Amino acid sequence: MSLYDTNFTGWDWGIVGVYLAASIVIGLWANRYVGNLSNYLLAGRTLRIRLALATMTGTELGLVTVMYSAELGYLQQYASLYLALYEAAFLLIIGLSGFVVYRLRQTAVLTIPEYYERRYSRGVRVVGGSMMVVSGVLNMGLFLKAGAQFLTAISGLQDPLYLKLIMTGLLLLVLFYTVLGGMVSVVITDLVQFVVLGIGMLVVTWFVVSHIGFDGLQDVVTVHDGYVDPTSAVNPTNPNVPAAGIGGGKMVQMAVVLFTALMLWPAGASRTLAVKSSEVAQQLYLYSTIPFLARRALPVLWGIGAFAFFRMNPELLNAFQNEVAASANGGGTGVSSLSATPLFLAKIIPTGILGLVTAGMVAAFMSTHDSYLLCWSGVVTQDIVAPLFGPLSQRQRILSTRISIVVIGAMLLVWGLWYETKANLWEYMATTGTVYLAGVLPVVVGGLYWKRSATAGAYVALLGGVTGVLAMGPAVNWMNLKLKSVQVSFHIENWHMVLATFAISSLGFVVVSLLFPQQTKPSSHQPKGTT
Amino acid sequence: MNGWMILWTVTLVVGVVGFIGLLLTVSLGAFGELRLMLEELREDTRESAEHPEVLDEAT
Repeated sequence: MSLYDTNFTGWDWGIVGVYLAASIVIGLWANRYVGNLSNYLLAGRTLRIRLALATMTGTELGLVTVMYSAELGYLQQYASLYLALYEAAFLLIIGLSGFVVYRLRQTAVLTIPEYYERRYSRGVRVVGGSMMVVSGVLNMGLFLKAGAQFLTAISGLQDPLYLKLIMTGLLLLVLFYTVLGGMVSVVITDLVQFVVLGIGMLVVTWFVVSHIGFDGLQDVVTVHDGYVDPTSAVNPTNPNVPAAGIGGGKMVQMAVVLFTALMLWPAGASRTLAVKSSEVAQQLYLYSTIPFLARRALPVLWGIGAFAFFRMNPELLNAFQNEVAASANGGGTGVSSLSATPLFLAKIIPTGILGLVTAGMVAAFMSTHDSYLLCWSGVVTQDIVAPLFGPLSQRQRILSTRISIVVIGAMLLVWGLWYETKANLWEYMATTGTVYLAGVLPVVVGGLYWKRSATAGAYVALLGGVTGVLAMGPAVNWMNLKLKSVQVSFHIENWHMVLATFAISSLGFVVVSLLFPQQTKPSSHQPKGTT
Repeated sequence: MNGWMILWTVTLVVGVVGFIGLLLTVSLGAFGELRLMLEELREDTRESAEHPEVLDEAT
């Protein structure tokens, strides 16, 4: 058996093709339901609980989630499941208490930056919207590559050119139906994608467990010395690389990032704002506990299966490790640790079913991309273009949103083609997300729950989030070199900088709000430049 | 099996079983909700079509 052997055949390509064509038809059809801006951005705020749950799951259970969770399962085995527990626990807390989401939905804003203007000032809205888009686009930067890596690995395509062509093709398809139908087509396709993806995930889990067996999954720990205890900073499968481990500090970092992201990540928040009432918003979080647990736990299990599979086949493990090393040095076929799980699945899932599973994964890819593109583009129009160049009519706003979708899509393509990350995909996403999350946490929570929150504090908190770029790999390496050159033995880790960014933004918000209190009462009326 | 492995096994089992339940519950009800959503949007779109001037009002 060679590394690129696959059960993926022309039949499977056919199944994927039919699914993609159906998505185009839905996009065209949904366009007839876009009568105004509210329809386009929030599907007229008509979502009920089950539909909201399907679209929330469709959005947040993207192929990129599957890929980074499976990658963590392969690299950190069982220990990486702490993230699944975190998400379930945090959603339960938010769903039971309604913390932030209930009050945020009560404000009836279209976007989070619109809330900034209502509570603070128009300037805060523009700055906050800009930070959100920069962070969001950076965060999405590797989605395309992850999706294309899945498809090339599972189908056995080895030429790196295919990676680029697939990235471009997938992006064009998503752009097409998102530009046309906005949130209406996103909701409809999300529902179909939820069903297709859900069945696909269960099928994959069945094949993984059948192939590896419960004994094989147990052997990961007992025979192959797999990683089980996340509080230990040493990964027993890679003990000489500190970054390969988890440990207490990284667990704290992930707790802060995940708790904030679950409440305030714009794509998720847009679902909170699109539901019919505050009560439904709170229910949505409570009922999302299970799908969010599953979105991490199931792909981690596949990654653990891939780890066991490669350990059972040492010749394949050697070939895989050689390819990863070659690709990291600029050669090879672009294979990375992300490819381990799809390469494994390509060998154990039979022809035909593999096509259905791949269609499910393509569904996951599209359902995340469409929502994210619409979300960031809506923010560009509503919170940057309209406040700066408005007033704008609804027609102009829809046009501006459509143009933004295409521009952001082009930026994603360029970023995805040339940026290479040394960290694992999840760490890249947590770091880029921090640029936005560190600022939004004090500004929104303070705005909703603390009367003395002030505009000056909001500016400091949002701009403090920029510190988050220092948590990216090249910046951390540069700082460590500087420390070494001045004989300081302390070694900076990525999570130090992420936590420092949250601390800077939150402390800055409180201190500056107290030093420069709000001169005028926050407005409760509909702000200019909003609909 | 140590404590961590018991915790991870429970996490995986709850994840799989819960996801099956959710898939059934949501799939059975969401298509009906989609129909209601489209009816409401159709009405909204008709109103917008009857008053196109609203779409051109700058706000």
